[in-house]
Amino acid sequence: MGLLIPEKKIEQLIDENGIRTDGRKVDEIRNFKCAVGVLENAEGSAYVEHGGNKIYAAVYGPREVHPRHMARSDRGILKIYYRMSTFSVFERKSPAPNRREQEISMVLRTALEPMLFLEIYPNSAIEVFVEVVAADGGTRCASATAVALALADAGIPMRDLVTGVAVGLCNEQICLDLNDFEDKAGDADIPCGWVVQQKKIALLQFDGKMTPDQIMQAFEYSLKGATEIYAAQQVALREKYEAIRDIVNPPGSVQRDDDEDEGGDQPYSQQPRDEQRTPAPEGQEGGQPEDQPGEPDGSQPDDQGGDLE
Amino acid sequence: MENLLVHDKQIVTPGTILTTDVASFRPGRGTIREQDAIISVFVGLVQIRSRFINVVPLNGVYLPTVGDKVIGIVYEKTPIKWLVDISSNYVGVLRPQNAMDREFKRQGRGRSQEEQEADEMDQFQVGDVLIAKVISFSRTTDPQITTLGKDLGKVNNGTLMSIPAPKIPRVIGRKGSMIRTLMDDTRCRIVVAQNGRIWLNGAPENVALAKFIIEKIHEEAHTSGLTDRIKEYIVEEKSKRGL
Repeated sequence: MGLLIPEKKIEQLIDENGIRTDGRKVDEIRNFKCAVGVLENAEGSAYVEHGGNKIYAAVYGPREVHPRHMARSDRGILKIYYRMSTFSVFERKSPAPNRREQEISMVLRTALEPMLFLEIYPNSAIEVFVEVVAADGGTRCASATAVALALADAGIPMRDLVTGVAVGLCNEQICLDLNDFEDKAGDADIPCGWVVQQKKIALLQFDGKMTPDQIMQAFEYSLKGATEIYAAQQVALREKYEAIRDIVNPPGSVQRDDDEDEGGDQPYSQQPRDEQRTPAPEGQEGGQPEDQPGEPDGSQPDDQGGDLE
Repeated sequence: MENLLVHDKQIVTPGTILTTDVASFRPGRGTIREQDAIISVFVGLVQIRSRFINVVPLNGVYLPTVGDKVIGIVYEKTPIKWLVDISSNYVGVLRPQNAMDREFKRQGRGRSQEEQEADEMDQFQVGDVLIAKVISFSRTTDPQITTLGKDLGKVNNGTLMSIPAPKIPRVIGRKGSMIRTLMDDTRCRIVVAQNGRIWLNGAPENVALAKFIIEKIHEEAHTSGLTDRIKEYIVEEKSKRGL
């Protein structure tokens, strides 16, 4: 006989005290942890734990495009491969890519693309592999969080990070950060990807039924949740370097001014030119700039007075 | 400095607002201006140089620049050129006219044009490691490299290692001070290329020491007092290893 796992009998999603099945209040996010630089072979990588979700993201590139015919001569392309491991869910998931994975790969790409400056990478591809090794509701949101972290870790210039968190409707109440059970049993599910500082949306999907008032509250809750997660993302990106610095340059110790150490030509990574014009109007982040730079930033423009000597 | 939201050498992340005082400050490398703010586009170190705010990235792929010394590995050979992996999203192209040295040309005297051309492409094979220089590169043309010149050409021995291209200036040091210390104290020949690759040659235990020290520089590239600390590390490691 197979393994018997007793199923918790869940009477209601939210009890009379406003407490949810996992003990949270309606406007609380699940536990969140993240780290970067976790995969040696990748240019940049991230690991995210969000609730029971455990997700890896690995960035390779910018590098040559394969197959060649997909290359664009005016800009780089972003390719995202979202896959769930066969053991990430209770019932073994077949390893063949399914339509949901294709959809999420596309959704993640449309969310992250506007954050990048793809015009500085003609004929190149940035490939991101997302592997969900444990799933617990809201994987696409947690994946967006992980992909943003991995891209930043890879040294790819970005306008800002993207932070994912879902919000939904359970028992007529707006609930922040649905867990797996609430996701399946609730009345609506809105995965969101926020650009927190600008209060803009990068990823948005909707499944279910809500009134306009409920939707406004949902956005309020999800921004609140995203703000907490964004802070954790920033800490993770800095921590990789600050941890080392704290050991060798303990705070308070006197340090010789070390600019003298830097030498040779400063091979800055490919980066966007100073955008003298104001950015595109709201909702159109990252469109192609009309005034394309004639050359990549290998030859610096004159306004770069900030050269290291 | 007032009006700045960050200080020099602070580690920042993409989207971090560096200042809202766009009148006093100009966006430098690694930053962009978004309406009323200058923001960072990298995970990197803030660098304030009078009116310019730069952010030096701590990771990234190599961007070819004319004049750079690069270490490449031949990965494809066509009848008219070699394609060389220079650790970038752009592929280095080496043409025979940029690869034929005097020795080769001298052997060619007295032979027909066709015979010479047939042998032109024999010089380098797939898998060869070359120390080369970037001679041209633009948005529409792949980087052209040359192996003609002082200290350029194929390497036949030694070891290769790689670190992210943005960390290379730290390995070189001001006016080459760091690399000179490294070579003297580890008794190795070291060639540091801008594309993140480093070639070393010497006795195995010395090369192992040099690689260890270079990894240390890579890890601590963003910290202060590095030159002195590296000198200490070398002394420490040498005694640990009995060198």
